[in-house]
Amino acid sequence: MPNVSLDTKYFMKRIGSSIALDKLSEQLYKMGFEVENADEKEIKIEVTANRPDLLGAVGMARALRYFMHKEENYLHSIKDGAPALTIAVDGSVKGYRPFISGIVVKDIKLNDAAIADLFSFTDKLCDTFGRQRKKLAIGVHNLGAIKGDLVYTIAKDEKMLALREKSLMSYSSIMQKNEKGIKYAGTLDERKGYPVLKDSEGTLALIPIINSERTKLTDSTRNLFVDITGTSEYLVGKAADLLASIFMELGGKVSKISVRYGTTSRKFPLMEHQEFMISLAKLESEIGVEIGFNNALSLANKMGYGAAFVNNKVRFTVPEYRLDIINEQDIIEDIAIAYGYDYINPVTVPSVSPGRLEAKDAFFEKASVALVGMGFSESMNSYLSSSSVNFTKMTRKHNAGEAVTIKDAKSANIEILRTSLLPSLLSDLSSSKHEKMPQRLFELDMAFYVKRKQPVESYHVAAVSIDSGSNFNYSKSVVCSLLSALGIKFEAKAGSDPSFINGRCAAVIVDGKSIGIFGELHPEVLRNFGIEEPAVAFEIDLTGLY
Amino acid sequence: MHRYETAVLSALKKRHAMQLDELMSSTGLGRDEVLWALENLSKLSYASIDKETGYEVLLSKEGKKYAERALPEEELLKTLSLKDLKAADLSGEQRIGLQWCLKLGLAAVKSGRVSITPKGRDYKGRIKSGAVLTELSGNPDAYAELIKKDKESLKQLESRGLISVKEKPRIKSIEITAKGIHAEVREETDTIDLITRDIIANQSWKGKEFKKYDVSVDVEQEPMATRHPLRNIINEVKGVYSGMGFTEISGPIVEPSFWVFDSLFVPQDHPAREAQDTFHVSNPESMPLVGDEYVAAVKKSHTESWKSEWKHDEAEKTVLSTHTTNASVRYIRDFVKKTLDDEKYEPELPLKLFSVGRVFRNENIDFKHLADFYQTDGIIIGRNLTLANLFDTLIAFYDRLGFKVRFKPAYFPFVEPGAEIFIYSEKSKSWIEVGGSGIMRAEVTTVSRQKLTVLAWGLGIERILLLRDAGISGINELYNNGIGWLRSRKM
Repeated sequence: MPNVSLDTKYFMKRIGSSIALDKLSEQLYKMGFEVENADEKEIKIEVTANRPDLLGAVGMARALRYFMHKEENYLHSIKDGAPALTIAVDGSVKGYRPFISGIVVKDIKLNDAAIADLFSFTDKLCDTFGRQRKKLAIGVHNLGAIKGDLVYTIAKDEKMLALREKSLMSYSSIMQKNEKGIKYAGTLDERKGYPVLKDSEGTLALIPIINSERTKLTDSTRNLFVDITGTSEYLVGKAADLLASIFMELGGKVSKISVRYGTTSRKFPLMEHQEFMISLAKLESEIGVEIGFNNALSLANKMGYGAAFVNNKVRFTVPEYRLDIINEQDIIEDIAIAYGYDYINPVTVPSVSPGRLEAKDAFFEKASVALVGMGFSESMNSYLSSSSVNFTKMTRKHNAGEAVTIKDAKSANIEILRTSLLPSLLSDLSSSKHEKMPQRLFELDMAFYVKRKQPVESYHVAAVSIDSGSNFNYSKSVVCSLLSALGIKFEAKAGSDPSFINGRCAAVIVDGKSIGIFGELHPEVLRNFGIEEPAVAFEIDLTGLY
Repeated sequence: MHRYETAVLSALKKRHAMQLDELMSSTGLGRDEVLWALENLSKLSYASIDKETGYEVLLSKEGKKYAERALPEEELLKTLSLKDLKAADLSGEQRIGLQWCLKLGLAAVKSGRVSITPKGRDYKGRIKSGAVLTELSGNPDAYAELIKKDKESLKQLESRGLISVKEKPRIKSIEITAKGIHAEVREETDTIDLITRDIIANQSWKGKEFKKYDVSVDVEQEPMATRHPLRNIINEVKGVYSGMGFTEISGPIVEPSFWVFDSLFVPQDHPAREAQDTFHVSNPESMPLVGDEYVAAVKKSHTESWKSEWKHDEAEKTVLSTHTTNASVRYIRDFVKKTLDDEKYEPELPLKLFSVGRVFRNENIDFKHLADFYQTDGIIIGRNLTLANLFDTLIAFYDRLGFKVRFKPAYFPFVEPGAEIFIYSEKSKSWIEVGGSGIMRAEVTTVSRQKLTVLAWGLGIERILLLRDAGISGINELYNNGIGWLRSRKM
């Protein structure tokens, strides 16, 4: 979930009045956002991933004003007129970074706090929702510095004067040397060329990396052009609506621009307002509370929706800046939030049948109780292991392809899912040297293999006993007691397993099939785990026994 | 005089001052027996026992590792003496090292770069606490000496969880008194001490007295085999569910991404799917999906709702499940298929189901983070189920485990409305997040919402134990399995 940090003074100004910080935290919690830290300087809020419109002070303050009934909500609209700017889209962008939209903002005056918040908002939006600018990126330009109409195209490796650079640089050297070029290298496929926005004087922006020095904002800039590009037509369009709403909140006059694809053209921002008709009964029955019509309209307003009562239903008009409303369930959630999760009275779901556990549980409990009864304590270990612990320390061979293998683990000692439980138990015991003897541990849990390229998940039971008197006969007597308690008949045949001493290890044969092993652990294995006393062990695959 | 007492007194008469183990070997008695005899002899002023404070020192897994190699700050200092590092590139262990280096003034961070300070450069040899740790690993008894010399390092090692220290009174020396030297060693014969088979068979206790024992004698605790505390919680949780009418189900751990993400409406470009958060598997690298109508439906809802292309190969990539919801969604799918295939199939509703299982996250493992841990999922499939029903179920569940619950609106791709669950911790006097819940989206259930609703939740298990057991400090402690730790757990 993205964290946003807002300037407390600016945020309070946007809300319109000063609110005590703890009251603010409580309000935000009710809306679904956790305040991680709040003081006089900064407020840090964890915003849920579905609300890109709240990633800055302007949007968050707007939502709060509605939620706290400090302001009646309203839906922005923009008159259609002659487009303030035209972008011609070249066919070359298709299959690379195909979509562009934008807005023009006039007569806007932003102080330092507002500018800082605005850029932090667009950066957060593009990094999180825009997937590090891959899916969505935004650039803000000084409209006055743009000459003529714009072209969005894929260019070869040309030169431009990038923002804050002193000299002309080729796009490829920007990608290698400029901080933004390095950071967002993953967004471009340089072999295919460079997406750029140009006017009659040259490159305005290398997209989605950096703008030109020529169109940078200055203290006297009052008119802006915002470019929005990406890989999703829907998002690129909706982002223009979202930005338009933010700039209008800030007092700017937003005009539409025209984007021409070949012979067709579209105007942005769309200022689309989706509508949903939901019956009151549906709202009440989903949430499980009585709401009533008047209250439903007021709750809708609290969440920023336009709402009216039409033909026995509530007509919800979704504000242009909401990118997350997919169907009516999303609106029902908002109404539940407005109603207040704390005020929803719990209602019991009746049971029609008694509960039941899986059959394996009872079997596993029997086995565990039997082992505890024989003095073994239960251990629970990670399923994750390394080839070194699972195979090498056990002096077992790691055959290619037999273990479920993990890619790119952050922890160096995670490589595979364990194929056996004994290495886990021996690792546990390696740190218990000072404890009283005998030391007995068991584990009953999962082990994993790959067979015919498919993962096999199975339950094993394994135990280790460390004691100066431990010998083969003891291990056999434990296995006999355990299996007889579980009602399983078995036969012991000479077994071979490199972890055990040859000639002191037996295979557990059930119905002619070997399902496990027991006996005296080999001194080399014990030494590998730092164990200095003799130990016996067993491990049995329980598949098919329960 | 009891025969233990006569044995111990005779031994002491020969050698006036002895150690406990010497007494044990010369009398052939066990530790508890010698201690018992000594207790009695000292009451008779025949012997004097000099006790001192002793310590039992254990190194944790991490402590051992560092003792063998070096402390993270020592490793970091070594690296820094060769070159500066970028703060952002530091590994988890290096970060720990950095904290201590900063504290000791051996390293500095400036605009994202970590470099060694002149003080750090002058530092030759080992950092004090590192040397102490290594010494302790070789000889835990050195603690008593070290505490006099370097209390600070020991405290630091303990607070970092590298060592644990228990005070244990220790017998320093045992001496016979003048009175003891002159006392007569005589075994009582007319009272019965140890009861033997013969005494019972021959009824020879009749007419005699049983020797009275000192019931306040100190004894060592009997080592006890136990279930794992985490298993006890899991079993308790299963009991709570089944008491509430829930039936247990389970799902696989090694899964195609489809059942972990796509079927739960998590878009294919969602960051949670990347190797940064989720374990991807290279063997088997992918798991084939049968291209049935359900896969087609998932593809359609993704394409329409997320407005981007849905790739079949992406859904087949093998991952380790990051939650137990795959068991729920697989069940829902089977249930829906049955109702579609067989018109007569009409199970009694609501169906209440739960699962408990291991889940995986690609984490750097430390005292707060594990790469695999337990989660429990629950679903209720029924008609006209509401958010009020969901809240009630979770309140009842946690009430049985002894916790108060609060809900916060939250976003998860597969539920709407969604709620995060917080339980109140008496231990920390605060609300602690324990899981997520909500009403499953129609895109997930593919059940017409007019007819059926699915309530769903996923909760952490280890948290419950941490909040309850005051003796457990970190989540990694649960998987330590030190036999001493297991033996000392309260049930």
